[in-house]
Amino acid sequence: MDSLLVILRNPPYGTVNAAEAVRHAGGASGFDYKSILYLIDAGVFTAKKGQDAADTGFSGLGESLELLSDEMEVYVCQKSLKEHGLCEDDLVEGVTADDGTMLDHALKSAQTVMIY
Amino acid sequence: MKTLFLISSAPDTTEFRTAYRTAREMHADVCLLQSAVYASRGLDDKGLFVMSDDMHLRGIGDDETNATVVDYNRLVDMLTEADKVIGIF
Repeated sequence: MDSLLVILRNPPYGTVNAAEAVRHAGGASGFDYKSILYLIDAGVFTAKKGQDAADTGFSGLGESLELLSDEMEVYVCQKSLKEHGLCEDDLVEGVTADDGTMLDHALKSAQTVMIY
Repeated sequence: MKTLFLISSAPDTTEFRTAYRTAREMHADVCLLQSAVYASRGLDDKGLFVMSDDMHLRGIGDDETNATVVDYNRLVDMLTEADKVIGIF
């Protein structure tokens, strides 16, 4: 099984990066890829609970992460969480905090790495 | 003279840091929009405003900020009331 690692560094909604990262990681897991989405730097905001897209026209990325976490692995960088004033209780379900060990392993083992 | 800065860049960017420092040096009001609203969770300054729609979209509650939460109508009023508007960073 091929493996894809998607690293997201940018916050959601300001640019298309976050939406594209979630779309690619989720899409790949549907094609028999072992898909990992790794949120780092301001990208950790994508997993913040309570995102309310209401009638803005955006699709709520927190909700998407929660739904997709059954099909792919989603990690957040513990250091970035702290730097951006978040803790694990602030996050949606299905997201795992990583001290860097998983990122190290995923970088070595992933056949494809995409950075957003 | 009443000056208003509009900032939309995420707090961990150079654009945000430069704009915010300049605004404070000019004793200007600051309105945080789009990705800049994340900064409202950690700032406690006078004359700081934050856009409600952009906050709620990103899962930031009104209770998580000390800034004054405004909607688009209020922002339009602020734009017309200000002597000078500088943005958007």
